[in-house]
Amino acid sequence: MSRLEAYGRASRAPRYSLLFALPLLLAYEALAAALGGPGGEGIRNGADVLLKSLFLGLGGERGLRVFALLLLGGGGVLVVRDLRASGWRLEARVFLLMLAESLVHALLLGVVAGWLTARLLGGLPLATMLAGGGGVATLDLPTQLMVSLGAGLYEELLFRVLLVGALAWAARALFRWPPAVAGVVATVLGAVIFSAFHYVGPLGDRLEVGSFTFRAIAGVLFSALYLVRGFGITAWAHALYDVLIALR
Amino acid sequence: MTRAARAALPALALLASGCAQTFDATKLGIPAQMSAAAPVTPGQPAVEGVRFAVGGKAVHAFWGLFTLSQPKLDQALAAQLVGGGEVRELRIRSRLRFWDIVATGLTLGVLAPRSVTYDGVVVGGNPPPQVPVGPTAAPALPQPAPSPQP
Repeated sequence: MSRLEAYGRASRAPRYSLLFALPLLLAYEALAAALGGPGGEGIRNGADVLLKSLFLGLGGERGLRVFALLLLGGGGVLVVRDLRASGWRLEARVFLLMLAESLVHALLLGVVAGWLTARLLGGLPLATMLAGGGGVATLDLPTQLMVSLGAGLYEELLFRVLLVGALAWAARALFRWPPAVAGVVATVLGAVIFSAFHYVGPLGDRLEVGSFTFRAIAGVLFSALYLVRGFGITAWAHALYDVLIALR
Repeated sequence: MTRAARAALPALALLASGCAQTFDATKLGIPAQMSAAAPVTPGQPAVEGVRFAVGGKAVHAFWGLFTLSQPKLDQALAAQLVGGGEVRELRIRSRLRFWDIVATGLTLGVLAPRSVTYDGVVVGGNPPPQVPVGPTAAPALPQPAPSPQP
């Protein structure tokens, strides 16, 4: 196996992929706690709110603890199992390469999604199509940084891992579609729902065809990235792209 | 070479490059002079024109090893420089503010922003609208329709 193949395989394994995503979770939760009020109120990423609201609605405060247990406990079990299978081997350089790869994906995402949006909609200049209004861009820099990190983690968890996974499973179970067809339909439908999600709520953007299409295409690209490169790199690529936009 | 020395070399390279920030006058997008002629009489400004101060973020990658983006003066002063105006007495200040450090830490150094302020005097060209002067009043650079955050 070549070094590239070995890196590709290792970086997708839970011990690297999930541990790589852990700093995003810690940084997001720490920043959200620092920026929020004493009672935990304040702005948070929409996907985080949606996931936690579900558990809060089901079991109140206990539901939130169950969510934290599922997230950290489930991830922890996967990491420990994979570590045991690999003889407890972890290499720092794999994490460094994953950081570099995530940045490359983040930089490419804007270019590729922007180009595809322009090709799909045609005619209008890209700047006009993407000129949305309101939303996260109106927040101060610290809050935008926090929301960006949360987007990488919770939006990927909600829209790629849970939603696309559930849609693909439902398509196979209910309609008996072949796995490939179910996967494509789930990816496209998941991307449209992911895009629509950005226009909902008090901090939702003003709905524009250009930005909606851009986000839907980005959703498809993130799904492809998740399937090929795993959760950790996809979460970081998403977070870094959002941080880059926040810093512009 | 010992293991410690091998580990120290990249760290030294990072330290040396992370602190260096270069500004290429040909890439600012406008005719600009960093220096000005001496004033004719003491106390008089050296250059007649309208002072400006614009701020923005320069974003570097990997603890400052590469520059990803730099605020561009031509975008901020596009309207003022239409009639062949130029910038004199240009001063560029690059500072590491608190939230720049936080952003660098949060992204583990993959993205390392710096706050950059350009100030100077616009000479010639179209008369500019009231541009706030001073570092505290520095407006953010107008953004050229940013891509939405997915």
